[in-house]
Amino acid sequence: MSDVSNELIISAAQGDMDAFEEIYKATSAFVYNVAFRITNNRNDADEVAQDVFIRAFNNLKGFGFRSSFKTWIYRITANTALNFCKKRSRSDQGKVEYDPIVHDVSASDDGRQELDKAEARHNVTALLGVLDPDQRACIVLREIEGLDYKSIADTLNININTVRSRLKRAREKLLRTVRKG
Amino acid sequence: MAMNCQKARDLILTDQIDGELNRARQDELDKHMLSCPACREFEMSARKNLSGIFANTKNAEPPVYLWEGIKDRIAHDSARKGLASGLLTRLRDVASAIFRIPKPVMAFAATAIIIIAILVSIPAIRSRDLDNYLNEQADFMVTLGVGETNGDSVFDTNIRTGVENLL
Repeated sequence: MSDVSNELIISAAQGDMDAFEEIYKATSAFVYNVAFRITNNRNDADEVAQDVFIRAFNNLKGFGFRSSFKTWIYRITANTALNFCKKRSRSDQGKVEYDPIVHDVSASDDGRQELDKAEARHNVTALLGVLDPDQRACIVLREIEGLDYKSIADTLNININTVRSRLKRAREKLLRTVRKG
Repeated sequence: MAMNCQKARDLILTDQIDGELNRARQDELDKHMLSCPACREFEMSARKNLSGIFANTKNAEPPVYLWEGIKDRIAHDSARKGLASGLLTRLRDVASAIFRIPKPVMAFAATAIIIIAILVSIPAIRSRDLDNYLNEQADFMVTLGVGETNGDSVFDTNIRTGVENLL
């Protein structure tokens, strides 16, 4: 993420849309990527990313510069994505079991199929699909975003030992899946 | 106390793989690994199967329409907030205009409203009296027919005058 200056944040907090667009340009790539990896679905990622930026815009005045802007936006993204997954899983109860590869590839309808197909071949989407959303969030922040345990704990607002136990369970599941082939 | 295999494997799958072990814990784990071929095998297998599975993950790029959607929603929300705050301002203006009215004028207006309310309710009171009168007379005639008058009720021989008095 390129730097977001304090001046930019203050201007955007006062309603300056050009300043907010600059913040969007600086952060949208990782916000979208985290949203996509946690939801594991393109259309859901679109919705989550949009919600993240609306929430960020509405709460910029409350950003107290106590943490880094990146941590703040990571937190909004991870929590919005997790809440989305939990709501989705409640409303999907009793429906046909989710097939991550088929679902993800067929959900693409705007020229993004190539990436999805390539990823399906590399099983990234399928592997993330075997994890529950909490485990997925930890794996995404650790393996894809490269955050250390303390940053993951801060982002998800959980204890550092909870991070450890979620990563352990996630990796045990991943190992079982990989070994099965 | 020496580290057991379960603890060693938990550490392998977390702090060891992620480079988060402190020196003391690392020494304990190393000591266990030296004496435990099964855990050495477990670590090798875990590293082989887990390392790099997300290494070549491509970043998913946000779609071009995302920013347009965000801008539209912000504009829509601001318009709604503007409308709500406009209504509140209007209500506040009306309320403050009412409180700016001088006290004698306010007292006069309140008295006028009370008088109008009384005048409006009088026909309703009169109509209730007429209703009672006619019910009383009808009851008397019905009970007279079945011989159940108790002597308290008096039949008014001039109902027309009675009704006119109440109108």
